[in-house]
Amino acid sequence: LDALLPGLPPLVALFAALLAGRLPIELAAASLIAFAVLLLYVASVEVSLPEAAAFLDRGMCAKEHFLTLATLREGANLRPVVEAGAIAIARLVPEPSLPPRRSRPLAASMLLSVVGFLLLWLVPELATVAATGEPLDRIAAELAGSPSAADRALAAELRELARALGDARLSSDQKLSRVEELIAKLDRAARERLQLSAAGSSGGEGEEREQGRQDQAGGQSKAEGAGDQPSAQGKDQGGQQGGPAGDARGRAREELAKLAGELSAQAQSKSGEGEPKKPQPAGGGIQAPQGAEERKAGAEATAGNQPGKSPDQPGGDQKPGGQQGEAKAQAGIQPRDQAQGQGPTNAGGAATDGAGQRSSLGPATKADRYYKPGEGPEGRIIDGRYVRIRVPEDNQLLPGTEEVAKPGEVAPEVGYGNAPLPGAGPPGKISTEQAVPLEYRGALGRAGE
Amino acid sequence: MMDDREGERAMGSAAGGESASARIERFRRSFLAIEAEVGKVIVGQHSVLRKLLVAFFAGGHVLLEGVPGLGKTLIVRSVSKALGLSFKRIQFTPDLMPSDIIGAQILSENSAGREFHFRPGPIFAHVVLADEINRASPKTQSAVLEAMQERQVTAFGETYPLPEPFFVLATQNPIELEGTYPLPEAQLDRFFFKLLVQAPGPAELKEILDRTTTERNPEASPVFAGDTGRAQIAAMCQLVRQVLIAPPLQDYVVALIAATTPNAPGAIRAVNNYVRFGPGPRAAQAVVLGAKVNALLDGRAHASFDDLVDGVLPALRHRLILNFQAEAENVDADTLLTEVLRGLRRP
Repeated sequence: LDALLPGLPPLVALFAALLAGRLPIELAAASLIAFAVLLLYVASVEVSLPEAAAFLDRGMCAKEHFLTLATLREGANLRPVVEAGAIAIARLVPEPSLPPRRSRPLAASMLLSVVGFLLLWLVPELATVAATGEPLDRIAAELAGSPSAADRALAAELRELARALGDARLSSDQKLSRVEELIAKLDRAARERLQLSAAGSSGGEGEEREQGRQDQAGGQSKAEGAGDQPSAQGKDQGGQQGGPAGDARGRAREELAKLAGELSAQAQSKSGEGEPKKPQPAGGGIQAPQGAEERKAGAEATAGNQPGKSPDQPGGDQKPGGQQGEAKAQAGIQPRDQAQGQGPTNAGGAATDGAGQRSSLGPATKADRYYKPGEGPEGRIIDGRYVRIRVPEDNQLLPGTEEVAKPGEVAPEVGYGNAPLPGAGPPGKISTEQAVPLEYRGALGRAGE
Repeated sequence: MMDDREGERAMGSAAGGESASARIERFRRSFLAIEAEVGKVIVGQHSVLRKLLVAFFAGGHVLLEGVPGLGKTLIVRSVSKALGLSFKRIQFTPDLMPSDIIGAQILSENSAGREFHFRPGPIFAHVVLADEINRASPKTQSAVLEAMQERQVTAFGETYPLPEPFFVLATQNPIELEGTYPLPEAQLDRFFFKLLVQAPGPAELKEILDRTTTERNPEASPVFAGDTGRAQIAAMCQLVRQVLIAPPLQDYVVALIAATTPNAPGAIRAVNNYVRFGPGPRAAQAVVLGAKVNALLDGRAHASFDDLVDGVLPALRHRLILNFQAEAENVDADTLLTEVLRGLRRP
């Protein structure tokens, strides 16, 4: 127990984190426990002879026999009587279990405790395991019950991935690549299903669906690159396929996209730890994650529908470094979505409602097409770096006043910081102005609006 | 640790033939025999009787407080009878003079002529009952002071030793305080224990009726008799002094005295608020000696923590002089002492 004492708090924290999936909070708790244990250690590191004798008295139900013998001077007349009494007690009563011996120096205890904490910091993958292993297994279990052989194979792959994510020997980059592989596989399967269903359908629905196919084919490479887009695609396609298996595939796609975002964020944070911090501009504000810039680069690299390119061409994938850009784009989009408080599922859902099969391109693609950096629909800002917000004020009414707005309604103090106000709304939204794609702005003389 | 037989040999050599454990056992048996004899007369009041005898063998005096009719005087008389010692009772009244207690010079005439000679007062007895001691004037009360502490009396320039053992039992009535003289702090401090005599319970009252309203008239028989008995009592008192007490337990007593002394380091807030004067060294002596007698009664040659705690209330309650605020808020010494004991760390 003595050897385990300094390691106990980190171990307790680790198990609590694994159970709750919230490692940082438990780390804070563990530090408190560690300090308490160390204080306890310091307080009781010295045991005097009277204390030891008193312990024996308590443990053996003696009436201060041992305390008297331990503290009295030799040669007292009645001392032999006390000794005889103590011997009789020692013969009758079993020895009490002694408390743990604490002979280790305090410095060693503290050092071991600190090592335990460092160990925790060096294995952050455990947090990922704790936080994400379960949903994947759940989805895999759902897919395993599907009659389709492809779904069952996907279930097996999901389980395999979940195990890989729990493997502490794998680095974040390795895990990220595995997740991306599975995402790509899911997307390919989805496209194949889409093509099959399109081929089998009648021509009555023709024009719009044909357009959707073209859009989808054109954005194929982008679908692989954008981390938040294919979730909508998966969901939509899952819905087309129908049944619980399709829904599970959609959720698997969402989970994988989320995982990819987290893993890439981890990788970025690790790589960014060694770099000096950039100076922060005065005036405060919330800084958007660095992923936004990378996303921009990735989007450019993967843009299959950029001006001057045929949407049917594989696009940016063919460019040197395109593969890297794809991975970065996946990594970059996710944090941006998180920063704006808007998950990929929401974006996908909104697009599905409005545009049927064309929704396979996802709203982000549309936004990229219609808005340049600094603009954005629905309060989102493409590549926005700094925003100024006003926190919600207390909703309690003062006596004699009345409420004129809905509770919780928040009005920004300034539109949205130093970014220019957005122009027309997103495609499909009722507006007095027609949304103008970026590539046409120059031609129409509305660039820079 | 030494072997049992080795220990016994050592004890035997220390006691000059009789082993220490045998002496302890004899002490215990004698003590219990006295209790049993007094118990034939007194119904209940076991705690009072036990502590009264503890104080006797520790060499102290006892102040008994209780309403009239609870058998205080009977207890004292029965104890003296069981101990086989001489007994005198002094009823304290406002007009009682010191000479009425300690004695006076008497002019007598003989063949050589007239001469004064000292006639000892009732204080010259082994057991003295000072009944309703608070009814006498302070002048008379103080006459008992020297006798209680020095065990001698000085009259007309002559000092007369009191018989050994000398045991004063004073009683006082907590009610009917009109025309009384509360005992001064100096005199209160002379009493080893202050015992509170409580009213008997229903079962005890029934037993009292059986004993006092029928033909039965139980009497306490003497356990000790004559000079041999007094020697035995002296040996028992000497054995009490030989009982061991661990230094940490003595430290506890010192901490206890400090905790009950206002504005002393370690004094709790209640003591600072309600106590005017704290107990002195005699209080600590009483606690330790009482613990030693308790240890012998338990067959041990060393005092334990429980032995100490058992004597704290009777030894300290009359030595804690409370202030007006305590009186106004109806705070008594026992409550304060209980609180102090709760706050002190056991050794």
